[in-house]
Amino acid sequence: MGAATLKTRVRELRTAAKMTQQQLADLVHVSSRTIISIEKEQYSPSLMLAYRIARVFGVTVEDLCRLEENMQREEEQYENL
Amino acid sequence: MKIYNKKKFALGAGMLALAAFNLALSAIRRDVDVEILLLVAALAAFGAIDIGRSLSRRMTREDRLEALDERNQLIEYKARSRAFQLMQAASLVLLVVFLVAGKVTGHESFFAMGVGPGVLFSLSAALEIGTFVYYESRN
Repeated sequence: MGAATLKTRVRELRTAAKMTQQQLADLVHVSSRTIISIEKEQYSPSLMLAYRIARVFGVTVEDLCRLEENMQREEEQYENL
Repeated sequence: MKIYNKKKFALGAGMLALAAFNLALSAIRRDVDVEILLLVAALAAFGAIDIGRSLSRRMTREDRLEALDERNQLIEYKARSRAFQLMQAASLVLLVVFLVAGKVTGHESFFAMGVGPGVLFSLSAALEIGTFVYYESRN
């Protein structure tokens, strides 16, 4: 059983800032494909990447990655083992 | 003219050289057909693209960013790992098939054909153990 991918607020914060995926990708030094995958919840960003994105939008990593919500989701998985 | 990516430049030059070599060889043998021409065209195209990208600062930066991208690296690890697993499984299946065929038919040539997959499987298993021990001790 692998870890589930993270739900994040990347799309919500990016659209609120009127930024394109490419612009965000350039700011955090990744490809636009990575940003697309993060927004589609197909890929979980590394800690450093999450921190970089959080700094761009002026939020905390906990807020950006919805850590509380994702942790509860994971806890449910462990309870069902 | 500055070369920003020496590795890519060398790769591109190598492909162009290979294209030229193939074309020359076919011409000397008077054996030029569509397949050879397609191969030469593909090698020349990819070689030219690689050389072009290696001479551009912007494109070299793009290529380096793609190589460093964490998601691309993860996909590469996953793909290589899965390809290795599938190759290992295929070797084992082939080994068993040849052994069974040799036993059932009585033709010893089947046993000989099984040597290749057998060596491949054994080598891959040994490498897997070796690399596991290596990374286990390092991380």
